[in-house]
Amino acid sequence: MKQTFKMAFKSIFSNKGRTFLTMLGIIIGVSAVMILVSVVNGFNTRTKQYYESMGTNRIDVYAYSWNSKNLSDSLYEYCLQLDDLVLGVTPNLSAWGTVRYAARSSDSMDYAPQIYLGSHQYSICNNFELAEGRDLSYLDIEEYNQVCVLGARAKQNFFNYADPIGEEITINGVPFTVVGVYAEKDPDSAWSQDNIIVLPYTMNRILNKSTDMSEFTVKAKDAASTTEAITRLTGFLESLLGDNGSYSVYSMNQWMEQDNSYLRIISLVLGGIAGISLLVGGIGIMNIMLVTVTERTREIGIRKAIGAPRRSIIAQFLIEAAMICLMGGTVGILIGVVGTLILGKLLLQLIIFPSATITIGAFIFSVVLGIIFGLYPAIKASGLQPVVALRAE
Amino acid sequence: MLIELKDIYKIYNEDLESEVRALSGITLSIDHGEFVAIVGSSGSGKSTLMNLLGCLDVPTYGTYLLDGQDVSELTDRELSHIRNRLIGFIFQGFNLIPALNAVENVELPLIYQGIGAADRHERAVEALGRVKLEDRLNHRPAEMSGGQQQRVAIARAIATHPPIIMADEPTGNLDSRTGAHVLEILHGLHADGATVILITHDNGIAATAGRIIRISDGRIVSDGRKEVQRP
Repeated sequence: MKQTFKMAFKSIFSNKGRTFLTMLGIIIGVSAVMILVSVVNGFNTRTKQYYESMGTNRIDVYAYSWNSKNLSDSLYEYCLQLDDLVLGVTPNLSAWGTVRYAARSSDSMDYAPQIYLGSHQYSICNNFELAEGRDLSYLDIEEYNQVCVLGARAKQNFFNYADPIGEEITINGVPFTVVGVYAEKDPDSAWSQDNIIVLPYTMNRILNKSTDMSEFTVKAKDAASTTEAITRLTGFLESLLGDNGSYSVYSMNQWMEQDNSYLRIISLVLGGIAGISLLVGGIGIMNIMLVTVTERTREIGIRKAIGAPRRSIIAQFLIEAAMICLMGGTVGILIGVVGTLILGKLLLQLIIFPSATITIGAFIFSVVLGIIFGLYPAIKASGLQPVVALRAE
Repeated sequence: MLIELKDIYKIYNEDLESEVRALSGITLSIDHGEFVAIVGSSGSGKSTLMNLLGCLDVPTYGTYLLDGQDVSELTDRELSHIRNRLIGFIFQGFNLIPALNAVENVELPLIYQGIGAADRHERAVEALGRVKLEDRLNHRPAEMSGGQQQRVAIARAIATHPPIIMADEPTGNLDSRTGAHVLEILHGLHADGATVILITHDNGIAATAGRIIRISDGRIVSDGRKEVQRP
């Protein structure tokens, strides 16, 4: 048995070209599948993270009336009346402007902060948690307090590691006192949900010279409440507006379902491509093994003629094929892991590791294929009369 | 009797239009210690006969007794054993494994006997010494001349000290000087007690054998010891 191992080793290393080509098929098959599947999985994870940070059970309401000026108030009031279904309601307004603190100005920043205006329930509706100071309060809204809460990245951009609480920033020259900072929820992306400044929505009249509110965000208690709230809001807006305006009631749950179905399609397509590359790798293994059949048939003839029993020939070829495939598979896994790490970082800013199931699956597939086609000439030729095997040209 | 063939036929594509009778009714016996030359023109069936004798092929009909055993009744394992222990086969085309060097090629039959590495190497080097190739131990077949390759093949055949040496046109691919050297080696083995069976189409080489069997169209046309005795 030891001899058989040695003979297999000798054969592997004295036919470097053949060994390398066989290994190449396996390396490509294993690593391509690992990388493709892992990147798709990473993309899925990334998307899920995004939705989780946005918060589920969130309903975005948009309404616009051609003639009624009081729409914003009546819609807001209606939303507030849904309190058996909802956790929070906030107007969802934004403003544009230059933000300054001391010598720093948003005009000279690569990523200027987004300015949002909302109610004291803005953080509930948008899934923010408070890290420092206090949140916007009901009184801030009612009393037109010029205060703001910063997202983690906005705080970083303007204050670095200094304490921002009680400091004053200006937006288009209007001063606002920082009362709190939200905890970071999206650390990986530069254009992030954390690069925000949130003001009481009553500041709308100063920053936008308007009191119109056409967008609201409603945070429902759970998935069932979300569905119920959407039905009621749609009914309310239908009866309120009729043909005199447009409106939409949309929940993140619906977005998520839609995106999930896109993701499924992407997964299927890329999974198919991965499958094809595994197949191509497999065909590569098969080809090189079959191409060497003649050469090996002759070798087997020689070995038989000088007294090798069939069993020992098959054992030698089995060990040889297994060793080549295991080496190729191992190299393939190494390349697959490194490739996944690099691509994950480049494409998704994520550290992803290949899934164990896929890795093992691709490894076993390639190795089994390699062994079958490595063994094939041995099984076939060792059953021939030596003189027939020797005649192979 | 060491070798007994009884009414041996080897027929390719039997019952087809392309039927070829390579051997038709060969009966022959060879005793221990003989030096036999089998002579015939190309296509006469002499190589087919040699392959049957060397257990590299099986006859279509007839019985082959080797050392009293009916070869057709042996298993693959027993046949391997015979090819390994009883017969040293020298091919016209050398049949060395290109990826292995001279010593490794000669060691192969010893590996299949299960001989340990050190002992094996020693015996392989000794066999290569007998064919005067001590200085080519680590050369691969492609790095050697035809005569050197044939001598490696001979060393491989004699490394196991088999009682029977079979050589199929061993000088066919060699120039006359190298051929004479190879013939000398075979005679040396015969002198040491081996039974030697040699195929050739060269009457000069056949004349050095103790017995000449002539084959034509798959039949023995003459078999004589007297004819060969030369001064």
